[in-house]
Amino acid sequence: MLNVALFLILSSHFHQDIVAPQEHALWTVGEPAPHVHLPDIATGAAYDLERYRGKKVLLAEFASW
Amino acid sequence: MPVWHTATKQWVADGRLVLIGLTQEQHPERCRLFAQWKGFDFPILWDPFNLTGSKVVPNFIAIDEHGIVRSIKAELDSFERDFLAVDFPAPLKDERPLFTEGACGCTQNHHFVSPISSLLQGREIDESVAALERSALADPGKARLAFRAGVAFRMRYDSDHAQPTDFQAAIDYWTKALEIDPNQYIWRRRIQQYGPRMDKPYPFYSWVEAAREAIIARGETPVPLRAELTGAELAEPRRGFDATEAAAAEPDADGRILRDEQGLIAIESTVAFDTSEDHASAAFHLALRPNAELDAHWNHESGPAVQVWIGGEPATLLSSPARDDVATSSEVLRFDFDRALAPDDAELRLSGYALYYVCAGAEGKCLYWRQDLELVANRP
Repeated sequence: MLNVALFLILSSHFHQDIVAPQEHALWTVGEPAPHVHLPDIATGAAYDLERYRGKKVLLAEFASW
Repeated sequence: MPVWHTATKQWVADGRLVLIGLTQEQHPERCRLFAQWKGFDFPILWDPFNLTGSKVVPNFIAIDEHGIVRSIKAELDSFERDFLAVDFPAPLKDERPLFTEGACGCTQNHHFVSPISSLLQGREIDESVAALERSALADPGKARLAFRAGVAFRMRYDSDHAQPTDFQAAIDYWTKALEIDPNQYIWRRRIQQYGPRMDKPYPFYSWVEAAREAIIARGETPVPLRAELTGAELAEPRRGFDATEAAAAEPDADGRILRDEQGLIAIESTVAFDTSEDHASAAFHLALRPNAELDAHWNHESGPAVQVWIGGEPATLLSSPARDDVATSSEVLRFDFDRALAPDDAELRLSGYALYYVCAGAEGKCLYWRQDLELVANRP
């Protein structure tokens, strides 16, 4: 069951809307990863995890501090 | 993060793994500088509004080839055995995610789409800030709305659309958000970044100087920072105020320096309290902005262009860096200092002044001026 999802539209080519995360964690083990559309810090271009379907992905959430 | 980067390089090269970063920082170019320094060669996404909802970093999230989250606390020791080497079964067809508005039931939040997207792209800034503030005001119990309003105000403060009160608005909204959800450490760090030294878990950006030197030594040009670092962001943590700290000598005790009555310099102040329950200390930020309409600019030919004196116990004297690379300049000069509050005080009032050596116009006079300051910090 999908209980969390995140859509961030950065282009008029997309027709999905942002869905704000719920108060609980976005990532849930055993659940589908939410769509994440966020800008790349180097290019500013929107990035979509969905493009890596078929590959194993490690998403490292961090801060430089 | 550097440890994971090194450990996963071969897996990425072999096509067994895709490594993607996601940074929870207000300023993306700081993370770009860090990535340049560390030689990160993977894409890094920017989530200043904390849209992922994560409450702490770092998080290492393993997502299998079918898009299913297999771990939210991936560990290096077992990563290959428990994740990379496993052929995960495809989910049944009816378990496939349906990323539609109806499936999530969150369409009431759609008003976020435009302002957040716009701010991430640096456009429609004023309208987007206003929209996010309206959302926060309309639903004051929603912590994340307050946090995002704070992010928006700080974004505008760092833009060409900056308003003098934006930084304080950001701090106030972040503080409000943390009061509602004190366990949200991403939000807490955003305040502590600018907060007093007593509340810092670590120095936030003290690595920047070493990074720049290393990058230059490699023959590269460091990523420029849009928002230069403040003293509070570079400061080491401290666990108390030093009662033995020597009192600074007051530079204009008799008040003889002429007052800046024409407004050559605008002074903006922002207060960030510590995030503890009793808010026992506060960081004061001052930004001194030359009036462009009067062509006001700093004169560096006689030492530091600015001194800021703040009375109280202990008194504080701050100076801008002496510059010998240019005679004049017109950048915003920033200062910050910490003060403790007495346990029962609801507010802290400080008096002081700024002294500055400023010229007006290309051929204008360069004089020392004084602007008196009255700073008030109201305990949250």
